[in-house]
Amino acid sequence: MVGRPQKIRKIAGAPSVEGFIPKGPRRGRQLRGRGRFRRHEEDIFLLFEEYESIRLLDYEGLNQTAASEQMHVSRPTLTRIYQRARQKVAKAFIEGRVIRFEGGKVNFKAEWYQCTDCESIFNISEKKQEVMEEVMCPLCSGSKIIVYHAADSLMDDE
Amino acid sequence: MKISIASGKGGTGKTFVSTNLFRLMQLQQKSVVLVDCDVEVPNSHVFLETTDIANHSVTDFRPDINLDACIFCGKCVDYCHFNAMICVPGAHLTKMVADLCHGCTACMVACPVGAITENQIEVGQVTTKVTKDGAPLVEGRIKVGTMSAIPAINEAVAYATSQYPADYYLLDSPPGTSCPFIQTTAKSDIVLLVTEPTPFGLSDLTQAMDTLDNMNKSYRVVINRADLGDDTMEKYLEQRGVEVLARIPFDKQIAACYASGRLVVDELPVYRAYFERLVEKIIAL
Amino acid sequence: MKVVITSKENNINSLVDPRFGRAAFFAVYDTDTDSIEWLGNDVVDMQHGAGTGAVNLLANLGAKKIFAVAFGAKVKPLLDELDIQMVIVKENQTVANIIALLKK
Repeated sequence: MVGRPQKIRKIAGAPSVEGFIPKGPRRGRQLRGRGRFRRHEEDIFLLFEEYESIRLLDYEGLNQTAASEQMHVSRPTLTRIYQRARQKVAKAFIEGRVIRFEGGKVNFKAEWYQCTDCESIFNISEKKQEVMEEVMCPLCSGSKIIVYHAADSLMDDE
Repeated sequence: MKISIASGKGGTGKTFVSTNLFRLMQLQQKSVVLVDCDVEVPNSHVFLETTDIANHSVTDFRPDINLDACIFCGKCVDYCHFNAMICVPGAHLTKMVADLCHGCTACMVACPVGAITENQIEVGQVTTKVTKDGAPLVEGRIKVGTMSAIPAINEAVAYATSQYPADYYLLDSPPGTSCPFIQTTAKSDIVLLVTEPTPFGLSDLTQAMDTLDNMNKSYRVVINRADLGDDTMEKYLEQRGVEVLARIPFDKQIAACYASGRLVVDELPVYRAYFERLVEKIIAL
Repeated sequence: MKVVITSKENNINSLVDPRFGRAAFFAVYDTDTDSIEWLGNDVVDMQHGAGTGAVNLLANLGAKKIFAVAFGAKVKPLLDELDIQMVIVKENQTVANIIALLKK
C-alpha cells in the first residue's frame, strides 16, 4: 500500500507571477548586493511549497492543521516550511533582494497520472513534460490530477 | 536411442527419474549421456558430482536495422510471422520488438534494400559436466531475461549427440506441455511421462499424451507416489491403452534423499530395484 | 488530431473494448473534424504480438492518443517511443461517452 496520492503541487494555485523585484533603493541608500551587475545568486528563491504555505495560511486564512492536510505534510513539517518561507520573505524585504518563485519547468518524475474527475489513468511523454506547465486530463481536460502510484499493476503481462 | 523424461504437470519427479536412471545406467556400464533440457532451471547437476569440462554460448539471430538505409516499405513487417516488427514512416521508425522475435531471419530476407543485417545475441550456455565415472551431463541454461528456451534446448541436444556418441541419451525435459516440452520430446525416440495419481497430475498428463499423439510420438508412463490417491489414474490409463513402466511408491525416505541432493539408487537399495526394473523395460523398447 | 478508442462493436453506442491489442474494433476519432472512422482489428486472432500489430496500424494512421481499459506490457515502450499517449479509462463507458468528454 502506498501513502496518500501525491498531488502535483503545480496544479493547486500555482503562482501567477515569476516573482518580485524591489522598486529600487531609497535616495541616499545603497541596496546590499544591488548595483549595475545584479548577481542572481543573491536572489531569494522561494520553493513552491513555501509559496503554498503563505498562500494557504496568510492568503486563504486556513489554520495550520487544515493547511498541512492540503499539502499532504504533517503539521510540524508545515510549520517548518512556513517559518522558512516567512524568513525568506523577511530577508528579501530587509535586504532589498529579488524574490523568485519556483516554477516553469515542473519536475515530473512519475510515470502515470490519474484524473480525479473522470478517473482515467494516463502517461505523459518525456518530451511533453519539458514544455508543460500544468497537467490536464487528456480525456475530460480536468485539472485535478494526482500521481498514480499503483503503476506496477497497471500493465498486464501476456 | 534418445529417451526424454517429461511430464505435463511440474514437480512429478522428472529429474528424480532421469538422474537416477542416468546413475544406474552408468553403474551398469551402459553408454549413456544425460542432457538437461530444462534450460530455465537445469538442476540435474545438483544430484551428480560433476566437473565442468566445456562451455559455449548459444546465440540467436536478431535483426540489426539501419535506419539510414531503410526506405520504410514495411516489407519486414509483412514477412514477420510473430508481429515482432513495426514500421512507421511518419515517425521515421522501423523497430524490432525483442520479446517477440524468434530469430527466423524473415525480415532480413524481406528487406529489398539490405537495411537489415545480422546480429547475434547470447541467449544461453551449454556446459558439459562430467561425473566421476566419466559419463557426461550436457546442460543447457538460458540467460536470465531470454524469452525463448528453444535455441538453448536445440543446441544442448545437438551438441550432446554430436560430441558424445552414446547408446542412450536421457533428455530431462522442461515441465508443461508447451513449446519447450514439444521441442525436447520431438527430438527423442520415445518419451517417458512421469506423473502422479492426483487430479492435476491426470489432467496435465492427458494434455501431454494428447500432444504426443498429435506428434505421433511413442510414450510410456511412470507413476510416481503411486500408492497415494485412488485408482482413477490407473483406470484411465488402462482404458486409453497406455503402458505403465513403473510405479514408485511415496516414501519420506525418497523425499529426504532427494532433498539432500542424493540419489536413491545409491542410498536406498529397495528403490534401486525399482529403477533396475525400469531400465530393463526401457532397454527392451 | 486523431485519437483512437477501442470498441467492442463498430457503432458509437458500443462499450469501450477492455483490451487493446485484441480489441474487436478501433474507432479513429478526428478531434478537428469531429468524424469517426471505424477499423476492424485484423490482428485479433494472432497468437502473439497483437499489441505490436495494433500499434503498427494505429501509429501509421497518425493516432496521437489511445483510449482503452488495459494495455499489454509490451506496447508501452513502443508507444512511448512513438510519442503516443496511453489513456486507461474507467470501465463500462461507451464510445459516445468518451467522445462527449473529449469535446468538453
